[in-house]
Amino acid sequence: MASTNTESMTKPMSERPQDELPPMVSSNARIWRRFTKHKMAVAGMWILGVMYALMIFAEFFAPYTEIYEDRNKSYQPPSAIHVMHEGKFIGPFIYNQSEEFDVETLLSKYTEDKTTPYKIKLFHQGPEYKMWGLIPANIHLFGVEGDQARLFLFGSDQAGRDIFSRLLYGSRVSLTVGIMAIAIVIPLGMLIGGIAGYFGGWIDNGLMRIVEALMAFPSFYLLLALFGVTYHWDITPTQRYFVITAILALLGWTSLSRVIRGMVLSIKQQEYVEASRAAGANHLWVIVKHILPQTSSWVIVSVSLMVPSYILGESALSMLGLGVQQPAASWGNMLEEARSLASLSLHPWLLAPGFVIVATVVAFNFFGDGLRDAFDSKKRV
Amino acid sequence: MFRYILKRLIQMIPLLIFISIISFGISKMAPGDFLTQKALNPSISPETIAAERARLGLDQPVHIQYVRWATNFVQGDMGQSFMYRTSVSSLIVQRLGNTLILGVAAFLFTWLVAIPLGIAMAVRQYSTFDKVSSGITFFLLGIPEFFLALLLLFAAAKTGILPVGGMTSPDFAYMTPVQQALDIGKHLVIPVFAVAVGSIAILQRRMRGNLLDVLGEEYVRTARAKGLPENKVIYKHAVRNAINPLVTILGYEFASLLSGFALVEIIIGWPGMGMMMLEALQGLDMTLAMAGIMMGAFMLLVGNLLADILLALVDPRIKLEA
Repeated sequence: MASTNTESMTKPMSERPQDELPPMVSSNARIWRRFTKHKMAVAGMWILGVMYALMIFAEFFAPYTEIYEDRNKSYQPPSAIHVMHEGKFIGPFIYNQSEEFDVETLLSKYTEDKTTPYKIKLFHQGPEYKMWGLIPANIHLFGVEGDQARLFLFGSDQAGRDIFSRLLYGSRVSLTVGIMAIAIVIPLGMLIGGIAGYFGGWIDNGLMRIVEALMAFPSFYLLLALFGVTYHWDITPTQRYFVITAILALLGWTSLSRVIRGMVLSIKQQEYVEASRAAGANHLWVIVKHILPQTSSWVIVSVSLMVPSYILGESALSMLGLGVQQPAASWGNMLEEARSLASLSLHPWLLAPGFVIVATVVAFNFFGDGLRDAFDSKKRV
Repeated sequence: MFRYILKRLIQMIPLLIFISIISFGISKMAPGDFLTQKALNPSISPETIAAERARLGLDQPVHIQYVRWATNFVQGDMGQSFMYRTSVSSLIVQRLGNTLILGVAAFLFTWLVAIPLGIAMAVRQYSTFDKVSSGITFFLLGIPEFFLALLLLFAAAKTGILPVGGMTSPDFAYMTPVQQALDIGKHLVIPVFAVAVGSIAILQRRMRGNLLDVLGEEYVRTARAKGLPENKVIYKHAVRNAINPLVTILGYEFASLLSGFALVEIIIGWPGMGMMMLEALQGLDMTLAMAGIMMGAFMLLVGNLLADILLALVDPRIKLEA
């Protein structure tokens, strides 16, 4: 049995007999294989991949910039894309929409001016931007020529800014805030949980009492209080982004450290830990090098399921006006305008960021579910 | 039992002190206070501001301010709200009541829908009804409550069936008590639905899972074998045992009755504790914000205690040790 197996490993794929055992695969490859069996998880991964790609090249994919505004196009409905002009096919184009005041309803209304078509062009030279804040350029993936019509795929907001473009720019906050918070939560939660579980005694007692006290806070009130206080600080948008991340991270590490502590309590009984101690390794080395890696698969899974809650936290607080401040965009603060019911009922496209949030959260949930199944060795067939 | 409760209540004291220190620290992280805003008003002289600052003790070092605040708080004096120009305690009592109305309604709705739904789904496992309900709840689970609240408000504004936001209609004061109750009930529909949908999805899954486990037990087979009608087997034997583990959740949901709905409150415009906290923080009314956090934390602790007691009452295997 063993000999055939080694033999098959050395032979190229094509020469192997069909009815043989599958080739030995590393545990990573096995996890990957299990993951890909979970169709929804793979779909979630692809959706997230596309979103992050759009985020990285937001300047290029967005037809307008984050702060580009046309004050004459306040609350313009999403541009309808036509292909037929006066009965002839001329490729995708839009008509200019202009605002008119309706005397009867006392509301302003947009109507399409069907005389001139404005063609949608690929690699269009549009508003100037700096790629990643460094390289000046003006090439956008698509755009519309002339300076009359505006291509607002998801409509525009009150200031006449393109909601689609702002969604792309806003993802730079909304899609990264969770990851950044996690980058603080993991080391903090693992180290504190590891120390508490490893040393036990009064250290464990003290640390866990602190964790319990932090958990006794009503979390949304604490979040509200921290955002509410920092909201009054006079800081730059970048600094605010880091403050927001830090606040979100501050609330997340407690539950992680509690579970890690429990796992460490059982791992530290293993003989190899004792062996490492006997070989003269110091405590911190044992914790970081030998014990904590054992918890890694659990951490990866729980973290991927935690990211959505951070995205939601940022969105909710920004929506209340306490997070990311205008004119910088985040999915949450774009929804702030939708909180005014008068403007929402007339301009339903203001809800677009909400749907993007839902899509992201669902994609992350499926992705996390798939990871959990893939790492769960009990499920191995 | 009595000794256990007493012990738990005593344990709360250091926890509450810790929480109060942290929240006091947070409140001091705000730049300036409400008097800094008042100082911008040219009709108030700097002397008045200084005198007021001294009177409120805002010129003292932080730790003295804390001791002063804590002493008053323990004696039942939560201070004055600068924004609402009334005592914090009266404001909190009023807002707490509103939050409780919403919380209890959402709580009842969740349980009255989720439990029967879970039972129905478990009894008809793998039927179309089961699959469709599972799909819908999974989908609804992905919608954050604040967005659901917005969607519902939008739908209400478009159809005009339900009132949009707030807790009462403008002519509330002129209604008879029955009409007033109905009016609040109508305003409750959207916030209750927004907060309950997520919990229904979770609770219903658990109920379904629990009941499926129990239905596989031997005693259920015995009950069926001795010829009991299926209804009796399910409702008399299985459901009772399947519900038991859910009591834990019941307790913790109870604990979150107060703080769990702050976000939806704010979006709907429900004048509860969450709304009050937001206004207090925006207006730098830190006395009010502090009292809000303290109340929220206290209710959470009491709720957890109630959860443990409830569990011990329902499950004789659990002993509360003093």
